[in-house]
Amino acid sequence: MIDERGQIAVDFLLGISLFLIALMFIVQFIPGLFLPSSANEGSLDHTAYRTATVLAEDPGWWGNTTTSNTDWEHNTANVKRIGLAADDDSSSKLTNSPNLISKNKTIAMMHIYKTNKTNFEQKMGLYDNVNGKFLYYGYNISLVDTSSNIPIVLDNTAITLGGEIPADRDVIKIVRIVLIETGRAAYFDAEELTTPYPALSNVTSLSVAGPKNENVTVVLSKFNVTGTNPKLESIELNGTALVPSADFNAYKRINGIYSPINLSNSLEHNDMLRLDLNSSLFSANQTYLLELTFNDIWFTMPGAPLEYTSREEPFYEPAYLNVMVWK
Amino acid sequence: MNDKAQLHTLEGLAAALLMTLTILTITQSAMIITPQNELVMDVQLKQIASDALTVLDSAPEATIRNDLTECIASWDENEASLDSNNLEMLDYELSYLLPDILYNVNIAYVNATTQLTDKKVIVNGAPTENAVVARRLVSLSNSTVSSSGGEWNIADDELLIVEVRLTAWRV
Amino acid sequence: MESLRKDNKGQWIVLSGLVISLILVAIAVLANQAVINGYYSSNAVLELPKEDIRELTLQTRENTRMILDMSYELNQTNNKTVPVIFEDIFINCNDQMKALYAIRGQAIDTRIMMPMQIANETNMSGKDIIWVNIEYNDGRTRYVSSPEVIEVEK
Repeated sequence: MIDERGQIAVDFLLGISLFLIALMFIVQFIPGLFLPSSANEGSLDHTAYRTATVLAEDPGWWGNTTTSNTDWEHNTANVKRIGLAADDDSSSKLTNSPNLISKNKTIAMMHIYKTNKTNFEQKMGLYDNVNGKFLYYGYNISLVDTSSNIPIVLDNTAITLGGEIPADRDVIKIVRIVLIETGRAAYFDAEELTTPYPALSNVTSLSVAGPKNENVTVVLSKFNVTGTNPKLESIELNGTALVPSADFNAYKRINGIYSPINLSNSLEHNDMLRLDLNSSLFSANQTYLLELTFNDIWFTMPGAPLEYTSREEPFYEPAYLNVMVWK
Repeated sequence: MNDKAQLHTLEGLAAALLMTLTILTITQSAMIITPQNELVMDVQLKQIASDALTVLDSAPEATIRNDLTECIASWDENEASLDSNNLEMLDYELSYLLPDILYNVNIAYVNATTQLTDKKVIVNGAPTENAVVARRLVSLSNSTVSSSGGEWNIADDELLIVEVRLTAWRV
Repeated sequence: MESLRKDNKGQWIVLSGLVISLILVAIAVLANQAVINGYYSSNAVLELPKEDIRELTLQTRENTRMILDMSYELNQTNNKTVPVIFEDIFINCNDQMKALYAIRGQAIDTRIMMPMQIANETNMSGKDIIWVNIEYNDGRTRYVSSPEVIEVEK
């Protein structure tokens, strides 16, 4: 009777050993079955890293049987690789500017995404190839403002694409700091601006050579403020007063973001004032004289108006490129 | 006396303890999850730190008032200490681009007489052991220094290469 | 309780506990294999000196432009030719960059290829073209751009 004690444990040991050996075989021969998210996060990490790197640092590539180049935004049908880095001279193949994001390329990317999602996902490599079968990842790519985290709007399109971020699984996120081209602008320190009238005047002028097919954007800063109510009074073009919102929009940079303002809004020394003037005002082949009248803001240098076109350059704003990928 | 049902309690307890301890040791051990996640964090931090320097170095004029070269060129040759940073513009721009990240900035340069010089210009504290370093080179000439109002002493026929070293860490 | 002390058959249970524990360890090791994979590939990303190499090329380009500007300017005030002044400053810059990269344990070299093609005023395109060799080596990764063709607009 005493000798038979403990026999149950041997049976148990045999049983559990067999079970566990079987389990180990299964685990070994079907990888990824019993290893949950941790096993595959690695490849997701790389997908997110690669996607963000290609978008931020590569100008992209297109090609057909005869030619190929980096200006794929003009040849979206034959795009090979989608990259957003600006390339100011695609003919030289030596210009490259990582982290500077081209406006046209970004718009072209949104276009490709909207017309054919599968094509976009394949070009971006957002899939896992399991024995020739494509398993597409979930993803969300957006360019957001650095302070508000709201997607940046180009050509009336918010730059955000992909699905809703799921709450119930691991999402790999890569953030890149980039500069996004939001238009063309000329930047002037108010100290260097001239006035057509004798010194210490509220009026400054700029000359704009037409015709223009893009909006004329002037950025002003470092105002010389004396008085209690510093503001922009009015804008005249060749002697005609311009109407706010119909002819131009004014913005003020508050904590890094440009937000629309009325003309009654006050302007401090370090504020950046941006004026977007409608391109249709500058359609003729002539030189336009733009006259800005301020209140309690003074200009000290009499002289000929500064030239707008020679100072015009792509206008970049800092932004975060967020790439999120999940299974 | 029938004591069958009570006999193996101690052994059972020992076995249970052994298994529990094993599971505890495995799940608690640092080897399982941390290396990957921490490394991925490192990669991200390093990437974002060098992005910040790249963006500052290649920023056109209307975007960021003073680019990296101008900031460095305006240095007054005084070393920084905690709470007295002397490149406020650079500090402001970096803190704007790198929220939730702490950083120190050093600059290093070589010149024929003084050999290698390494100076602190922004000090925000002692880096943790997970800190990463991003580097960027800027070239200063006599004209860039004088237009930025710095105190560098550079000859007309010389270009001084300065390494900007950003040590960044998360808190 | 006397019988408890005499009885030693139940040792099997402890042994089975030990065996199960060992098997658990084996499973954990298997699961870890995948995680360690991630470790090595993330490490590879950290170790590839992508930024350093790009920085070297971009900086060499920028230097070339700045040095050429300076050379033209200096040429007005002294009697050396532009290529001679250019080479002096370029070699000096190369020495500084070499020292700065050496602190990080990376060997670099930038060298002007001879003969230097600096256009004169009659050049049609208005561009100076300078050929430079760039070398980078950090012991694991070697990068050579030879030649790196740098165009400088006048």
